[in-house]
Amino acid sequence: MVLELLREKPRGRVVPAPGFPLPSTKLLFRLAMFEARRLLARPGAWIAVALVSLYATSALFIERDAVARGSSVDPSAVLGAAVGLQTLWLLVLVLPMAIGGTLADDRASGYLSLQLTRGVPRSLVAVSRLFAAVLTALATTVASVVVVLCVAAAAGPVLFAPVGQAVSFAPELLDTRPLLWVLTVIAIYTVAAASVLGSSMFVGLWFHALASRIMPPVSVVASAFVFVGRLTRFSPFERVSFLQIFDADWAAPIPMLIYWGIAWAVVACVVTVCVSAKEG
Amino acid sequence: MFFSTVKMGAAIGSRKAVGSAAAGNGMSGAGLDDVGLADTDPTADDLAVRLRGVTKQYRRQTALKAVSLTLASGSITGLVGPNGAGKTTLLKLLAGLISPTDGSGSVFGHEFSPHRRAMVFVGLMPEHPAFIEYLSGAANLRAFAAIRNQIGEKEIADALAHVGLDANDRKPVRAYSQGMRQRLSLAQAIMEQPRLLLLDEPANGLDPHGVVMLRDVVKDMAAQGCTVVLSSHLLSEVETVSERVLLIDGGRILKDLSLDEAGSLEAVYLELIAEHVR
Repeated sequence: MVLELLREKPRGRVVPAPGFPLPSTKLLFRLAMFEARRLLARPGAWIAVALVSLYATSALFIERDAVARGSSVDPSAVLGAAVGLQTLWLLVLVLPMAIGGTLADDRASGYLSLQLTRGVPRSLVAVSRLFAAVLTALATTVASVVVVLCVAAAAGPVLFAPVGQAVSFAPELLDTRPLLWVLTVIAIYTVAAASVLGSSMFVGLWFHALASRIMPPVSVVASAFVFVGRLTRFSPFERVSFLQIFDADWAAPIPMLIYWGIAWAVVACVVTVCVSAKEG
Repeated sequence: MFFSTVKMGAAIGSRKAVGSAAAGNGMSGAGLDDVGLADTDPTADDLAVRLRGVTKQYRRQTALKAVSLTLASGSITGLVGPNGAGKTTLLKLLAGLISPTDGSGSVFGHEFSPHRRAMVFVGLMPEHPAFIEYLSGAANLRAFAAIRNQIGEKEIADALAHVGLDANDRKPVRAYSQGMRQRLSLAQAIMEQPRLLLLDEPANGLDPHGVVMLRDVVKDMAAQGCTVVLSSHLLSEVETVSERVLLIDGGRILKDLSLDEAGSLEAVYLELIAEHVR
């Protein structure tokens, strides 16, 4: 499809005129920060954080009470902030629904045209928005994690309880270096959310903003039904809900980061090429 | 003068030179299709825009059909034609937002062709102004200005004042009336002192004071050497500010009129469009 598009609409060779901003790290940073601020200024971003944090902290209390009643299967495994953090993966699906579709909106409204007449290369527009997606995903993930940690600390009895081998993502890391475990979780969620947000940009090049908000998260969930058996390890859904996949060899920090890193890079390349072609 | 403080020394210098050189020949441009254009145009150095057989096709629809055209630097050209005539496509082409499917041309010497868009900074006032709704007018302009990083707060405030808006007004754009949005859109188009100003239906939603302001801005810009192309359905407005009028329909330039010969633009327009429809 991409190749077909490129054949139909050859990408414009850009020769910047005098006075035009040359593609530079500074310009990329300015654009990315501006787009990130725009995304974070949307109430949807913080409503998503509030809802997911509420859900995560509820899970934390429910599990704590289950332990108190003695009805939990593995009491040692479910105490502490890890319980809340393992439910934050929902943010990866909710965030694009809340703030995806900005590219589609900007194309439809003509805002993108006004940026482009100022000589911003198409590819730079795409890359800056992809980086903005990373920054936004990072900010919202950190905010959610902070809420969960604060609630867990207040609720007690311990911030990070000893965990059972069977029910934790990277249990050794959580046992020995909980802070690094939390940072790893943040990194994975961030890159995963940025990838899904990037997919939202891709969809937004062809469809209405609403479709670009809904299609990527739905596709992630649908992947659970497509990637089955040996293909499970390639399923974005399984990879994003990884804390529940405790017995898989690939559910480890490094493979997870590599998987989502590659996913983001692929999405970034496709989006950059398509934005350049589509807007040319 | 409004733009005297803009920090674009080199650009100002070069533009003034072009503008003064163009002042003498005013409307030297002409449509190739209808009135002919020699391959070696003696005034080529003063040309802001030159199109040669430009065609733009969107899937099955041809928006522009072999359009040839020249525009002199510092001139004011009006585009009139029915809906879907190709006016906005022509403006987008000049703005470097799209590349032609066929044909070639140049904007201030920067060539474009089927594989290449024009890349010259232009001031574009789109038909439907798009802004970030929760930001104030000044904040929106700051966001655009940050891209090229050529102007500062003073120039932004000047541009806003020039179109009758207050730079200190913190009201978000979502609370603006349509007329205020048009004014803000005009401010963003002129604030960085473009050499080519493209206005798509600029009088939409403007009150009578706004229309007078628009005329003044267009004339000021042209007086400073800026080439202005405005597309409008308001024939009287086009007639008032333009030195030259292009009648477009079906992606073709049907007539290239200078203001002197235009007479009643409305009569010419209705006659030509009726003929074309037949």
